[in-house]
Amino acid sequence: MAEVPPDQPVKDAKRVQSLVYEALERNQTLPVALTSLQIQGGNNTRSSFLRAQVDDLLTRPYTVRTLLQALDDSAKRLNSFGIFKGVAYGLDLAAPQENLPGVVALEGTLLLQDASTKRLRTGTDVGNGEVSAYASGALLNVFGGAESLTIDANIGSQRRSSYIVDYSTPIKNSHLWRADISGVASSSNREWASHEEVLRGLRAKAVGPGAFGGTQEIGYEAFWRTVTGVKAHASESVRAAAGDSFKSSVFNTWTLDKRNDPLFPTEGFSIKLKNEVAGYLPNRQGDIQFMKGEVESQVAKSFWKENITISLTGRGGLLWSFMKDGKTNIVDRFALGGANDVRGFYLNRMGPRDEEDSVGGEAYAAGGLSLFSRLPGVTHTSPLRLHLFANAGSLLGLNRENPRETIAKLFKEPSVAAGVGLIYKHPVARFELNFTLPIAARASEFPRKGFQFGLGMSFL
Amino acid sequence: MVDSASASDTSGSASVPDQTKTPPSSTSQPSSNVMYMKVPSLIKTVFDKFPLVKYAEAPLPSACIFPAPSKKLGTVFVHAITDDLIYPQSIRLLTILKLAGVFDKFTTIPSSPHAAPKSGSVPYIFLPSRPKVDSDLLPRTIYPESKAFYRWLASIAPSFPAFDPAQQNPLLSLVDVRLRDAWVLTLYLYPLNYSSIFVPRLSHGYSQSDRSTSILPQILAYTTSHDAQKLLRRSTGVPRITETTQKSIIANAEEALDALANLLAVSRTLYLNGGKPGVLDAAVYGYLWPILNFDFKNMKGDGQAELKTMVAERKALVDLVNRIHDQVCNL
Repeated sequence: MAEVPPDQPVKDAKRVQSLVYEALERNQTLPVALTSLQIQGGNNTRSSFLRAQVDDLLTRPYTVRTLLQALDDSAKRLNSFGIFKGVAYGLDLAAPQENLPGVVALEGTLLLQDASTKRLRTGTDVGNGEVSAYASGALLNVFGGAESLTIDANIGSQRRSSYIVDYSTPIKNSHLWRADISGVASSSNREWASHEEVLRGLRAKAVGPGAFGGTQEIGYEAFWRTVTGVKAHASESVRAAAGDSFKSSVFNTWTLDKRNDPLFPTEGFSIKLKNEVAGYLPNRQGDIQFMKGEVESQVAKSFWKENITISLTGRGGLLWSFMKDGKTNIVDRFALGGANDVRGFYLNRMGPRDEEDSVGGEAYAAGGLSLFSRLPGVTHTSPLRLHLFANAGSLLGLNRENPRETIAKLFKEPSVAAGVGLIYKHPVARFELNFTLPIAARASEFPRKGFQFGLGMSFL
Repeated sequence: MVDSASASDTSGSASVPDQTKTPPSSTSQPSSNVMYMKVPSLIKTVFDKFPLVKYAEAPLPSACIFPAPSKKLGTVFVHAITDDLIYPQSIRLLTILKLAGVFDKFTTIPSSPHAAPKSGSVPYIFLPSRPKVDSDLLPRTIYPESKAFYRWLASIAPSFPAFDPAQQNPLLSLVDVRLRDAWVLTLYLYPLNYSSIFVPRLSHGYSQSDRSTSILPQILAYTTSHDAQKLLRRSTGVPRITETTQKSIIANAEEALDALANLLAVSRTLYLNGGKPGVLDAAVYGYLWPILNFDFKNMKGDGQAELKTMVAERKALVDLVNRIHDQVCNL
């Protein structure tokens, strides 16, 4: 018997693969029909849910090419639920069907490998002078329909505590639309305004495809908010804002993200619009009435084989009170400044100030121009980049008699900072260490000159 | 940009060799002042000399605009204020300021116990700066039950009768313990009074719009009732407020009322303080005026509350309340 060389199976596999491709190539337009589909694995998933994902495969006429495409799409859809760690289709010839003359009948097999249904993570975070510990537990595919139940707990020195229970489920077994219901209880230290903020409430939203190929969220939230723990040195504004309020609001977020990477885009653009209307639902509409709109956009473009990337980001927002006295709550106002938005300023220390408290504003605009460059001696795929930036922003109280004046003022006298630094793109977050130089600032703001460290998912 | 309700990212700061303006130490970020590396002196010099263009202050939101402190002595933070205020402690403080003739020099802001650095300590007075009295610097936040309050009050209203702790504290404790317990029992624990007097006024305070269907007053009313029970359990030292406890609270209040009425009778003066109303008069007024003027019912709701009957039966006290009310309203 002849000895089989060690690489013989590999060669055979390659030959089989080559023959399959050749056969498929030759028969691309051959009419085929999927007469049956057998599902193997996926024991944690309801059969009705799986049928809803694959039923349409059995009803349509195909050619070889369109069938393979349909199976590929179906596998991607199934993978998108995150409840399988492996999805594969197999095809075999079936007995010829009398009712399908001239069509090759095929039997399909869907092989599903279940992912773990439980996840538990614990850890500690250190940063920004805060030490926090977190625990997160999730039950996935709880009822066999890609539902998930997540519980997050976080205890830290700044965000004193945060507990979130979230239940998420596909809407009508759809891979496009999901419904999320969250219960939130958190207590956080708002040191820039000498108080603590306590939130308890519910948020329900539907997430799905939106206009122009974007995604959208439509939802409702009801929150009991308490401004408490007022510090001894707190200003009159913060003391007057202390107390309870109940917000009942509907919101809509539309996002079109064509960036190649949301953490560190080198090509593409994104637009995000967020609107919130509070206090205008029938019954239980809360004691806070306002409309809030925000827009955010980013464009990134690379040159010279991604050795240089230029990113331009703009944000803006407006808060309009519908209260009888036209006043807004400190909890709802915008805050600006910090390593993650307008660099060169202390965290949330831009805009109006009463004594030493940055009390937030009702209108803001911010923009940033960043230039990222490959470091000498480092490949262009390296996560480390040199960063040059200039950013500007304005945060103001709104002149309700003449809102246009406020909007004009946003752009007329923006606070500006520039700097240089390094960024590091980690798979889960972006790190920045910049040397910042404030160039212009309002007298009420807290600019900072020197090193500033930023960690987050989104930057100006 | 971080919406104040949903900060998600973290940001921080490392070395700050040259801060243009440092927030006060009490609010600065702890890591802000940590030196991680030294900036080369040349760069530091260039950066130090770089000019900072300063614009005018950003205009405040309307919710943060109050009368200029220079025209006012300070701000009085009181419990939610309505035409028929139901918080005796706040009535007391406002009455003292009115009787002392300084009320107009203060801005009054309706607030909640959350506004106090010491939770649950509304009302209080917040001054633009620490006042100096007899070469002592008093705190900016002055609580009406504190010694600082009486010293500061004497400095701004010398004609107002001075508070003599040795003489008046025992009488004041009758009001602050016995009358308070009876008030808390009658208002918060008698269901009819709770639902017809307290809850509607609380709702009114929270309804900015005409639509007052917010769930918040109901949540707060529930927590207030819960806190009231806790206060009474602590005050009486019993684990549960039984019918016997209730009777005891009312009996104690009756003794206090008797003592106050007797003082008026014995001293043959118009006020508990003497010829002019003082702190004790304001304290009594704070409780008795709402008791007499609100429609308090008894536990079963089939008759007038014992507390109200007891006060109404003591003509000297009713006359005292009316006298102070006339003065306060005319000021």
